Amino acid sequence: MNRRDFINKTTLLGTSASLFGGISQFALAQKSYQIQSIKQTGPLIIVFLRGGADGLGILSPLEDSNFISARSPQLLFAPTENPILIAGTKLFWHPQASAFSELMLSGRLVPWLATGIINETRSHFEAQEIIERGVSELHALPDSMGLITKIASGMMGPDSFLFAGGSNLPRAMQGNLSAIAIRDLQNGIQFPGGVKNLAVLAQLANVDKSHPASEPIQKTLALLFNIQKHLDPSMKLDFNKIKPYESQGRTPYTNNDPSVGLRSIARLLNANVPLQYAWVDHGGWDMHEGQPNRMNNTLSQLSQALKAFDEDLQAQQKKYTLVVLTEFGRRFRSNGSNGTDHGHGGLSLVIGSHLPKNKVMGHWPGIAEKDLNRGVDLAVTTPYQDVLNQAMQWGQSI
Amino acid sequence: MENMIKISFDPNKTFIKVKYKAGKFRDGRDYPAVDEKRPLSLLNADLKTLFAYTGSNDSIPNPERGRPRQEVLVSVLMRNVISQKPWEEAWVSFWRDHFSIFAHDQNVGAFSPHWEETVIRGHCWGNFREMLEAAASHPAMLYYLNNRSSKAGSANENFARELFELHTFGKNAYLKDLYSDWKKVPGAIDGRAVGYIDEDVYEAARAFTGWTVNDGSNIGNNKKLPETGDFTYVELRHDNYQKRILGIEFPSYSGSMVDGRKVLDICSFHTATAYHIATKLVKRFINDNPPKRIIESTAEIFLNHKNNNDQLKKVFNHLVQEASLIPNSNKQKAMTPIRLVSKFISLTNMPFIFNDQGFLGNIEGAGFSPYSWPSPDGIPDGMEALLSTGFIKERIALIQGLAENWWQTGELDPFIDIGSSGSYETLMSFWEKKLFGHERPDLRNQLFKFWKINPSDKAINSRGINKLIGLLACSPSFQSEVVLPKSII
Repeated sequence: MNRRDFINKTTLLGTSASLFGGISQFALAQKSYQIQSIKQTGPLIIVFLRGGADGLGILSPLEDSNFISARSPQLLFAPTENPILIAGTKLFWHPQASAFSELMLSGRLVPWLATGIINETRSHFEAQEIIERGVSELHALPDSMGLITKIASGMMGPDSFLFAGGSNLPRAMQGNLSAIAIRDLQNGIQFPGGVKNLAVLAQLANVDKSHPASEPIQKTLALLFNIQKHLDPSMKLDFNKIKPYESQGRTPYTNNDPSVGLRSIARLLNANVPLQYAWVDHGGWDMHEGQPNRMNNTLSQLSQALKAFDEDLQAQQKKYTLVVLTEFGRRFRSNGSNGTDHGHGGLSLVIGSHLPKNKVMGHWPGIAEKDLNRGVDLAVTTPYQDVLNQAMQWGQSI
Repeated sequence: MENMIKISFDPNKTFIKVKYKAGKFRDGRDYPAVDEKRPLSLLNADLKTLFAYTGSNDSIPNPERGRPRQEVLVSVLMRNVISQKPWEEAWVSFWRDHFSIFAHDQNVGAFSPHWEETVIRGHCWGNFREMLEAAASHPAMLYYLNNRSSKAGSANENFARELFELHTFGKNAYLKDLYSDWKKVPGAIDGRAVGYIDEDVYEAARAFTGWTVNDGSNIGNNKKLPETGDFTYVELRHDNYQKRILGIEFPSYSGSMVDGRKVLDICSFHTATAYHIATKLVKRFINDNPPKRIIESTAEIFLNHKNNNDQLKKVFNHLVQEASLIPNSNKQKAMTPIRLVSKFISLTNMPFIFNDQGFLGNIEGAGFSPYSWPSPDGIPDGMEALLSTGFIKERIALIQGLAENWWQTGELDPFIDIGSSGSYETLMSFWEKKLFGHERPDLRNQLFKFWKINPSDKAINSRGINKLIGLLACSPSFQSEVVLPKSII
């Protein structure tokens, strides 16, 4: 599909947020949303918030009486600077999200309100799988390919691979493309026994190729070699410790998630590895209990990591597009444990080097009882597929 | 006659490093710096002792609070290493993963030794309904899925949702589009709903309100719970009014714990639960693509024996019988890192002494170690997940490290059963038979060619041979095995 076709198609699907005014959840459900596959100029990075992040707690309608009465006072905070005004509602960034507010003011972040899946599930594992397979429904799918595998198919250069900055390869990267998960690249890849061991093990795996474990082992060894070749400037390829990576930005990376994974991505980009698609998981968002403290900690990890990453890449004049997604938002009303249960509409963020300035995307559905999904949750007015499509479109126009 | 090396596991002689700087408790008291090795002491500790490790009564220095989790991990490793019947440990580990808890959360990890002993090992050969209640009322689960703080008025849904989705019915029985239209659920009008909806989750959450832990919290009426860490039912927190779950009416004021127990009955005895568990079992013990016929017969056994004390043992034996009709090549399952090292140790007849020199870190790095999966769905199963690109390097390190004794866990003696007079060819074919059950000249010749070894040379350098043995065990064929025994137990 060429660019023109893409625009025609996405316009029909209503990518532009302004088209969404008045479109009901029911109308959205009638459409089949497709993920587009566009060649990016810079890498596309997904940060996935596992557990269902409370978008309403990150960007809060603190002056809306519906919100004030629905939430325990401990889940509210004093108004912060630079609120976002949308459809007559003011949304305030959580104090730990001040980095997002700054990024937005400098034109490097676009929040997207009321996003999610066009599906009624309130199960983490179904909702995550729906997004990670790039669909709206899990019935009768033609293939088992992951979201990123689908997006990247036919778009990757010969030396490129999918990279997850974590211990597990996400469902979204399963399929037939080269993919590897490594959480921390601070010391490079220390392969036990060095390059000789790697070479002989590759040969053994080849001899043993009728065993199903052969293919994953061979693929992994090839990728480890390929990555270390880029990272080790001495070219000795002895797989010994290499010098730790240092950010070129002011904000340091921290030693927790998602900082570590983003730092690994920054290191690969810095070493000119032809990385086009990357993924980092950030866990801990399932806040059924004790949300005030947990939100402070988890959100500050996220916002500091994204700030560090943006400063680092900006200093290196690297182009990129990053999308923050989560499986669903949380229940509008808090529960008796000072937490929130599984909900529906959530918040997405697009961060990157080439975004429209001071823009807010999405249609705010309102939070009066009649506006809530099933009377209990923020509605979804933009399917996550459209968020990704738009982000990729911005990524193409670098 | 082989020289069998006997590996033993004595918690009193198994040590974990404890090292931290001096610091202060929350109330300002000092605790001293510690640098020592301590034997395992919490594996059979009572709940009151373990409760201190949650940190809520501030009696254990913060850096020591991960100790229950470390001890249980070492004990699981050692029990696998010494086991002569690895399928028994595989069964234990299935149920540990089915009722997955995350022990890196300190409140949960504190209770993990007691959980492992009583809920998992205590029930995994017994009755599912009893196991389910043991899990639902254990402090580890009550903390993990937050039922501890669930109260009438605005119940916490976390436990109820995962009880349905993960522990019992499974997501295939979640009729999400019906949301609250309970009458549209097939069978619901007759009290025989085929699946559950969100409203059932909300109602079940109400049924479990008041199931909590003696954690010292205030419960109103000037009452405070004791700090003993054990289960308690707090009537003041229970939502006593009528409920309807899966089309079954729950009258108001049913009595102490009656609502929750009724939900556990409905869940345990439901066909969907039997299918959900049977599907997971057949996948875990027989094939990543579980044959439908075996799932059905396993679910039937599960349901037929739902009231028996040895229901789960019967299910195990049924799987053994079904698997015995399948050729070995069709029931290969990728080994977990703990099983991989245990099998290598036992087949090579090498000594193994746990000493806290970094081995555990490698076990955890190789993926999916016990109690380390953050979300309640438990660790993924299958070749694709276990041999994910993130883990392969660490699996290789584990085997190479054992073969070359990186962590001082014990020296592999390559001559132990064959003597030191043979050629490389003789020695390697001997080790291939040990590791694979038959000779593998294809692998052997590749190794000789790569390292420029003349097969007829006499092999005398034990370090070099150990490296070759390790490399053999890093080959694809050594990554999978048949899990179940040949005959019933």
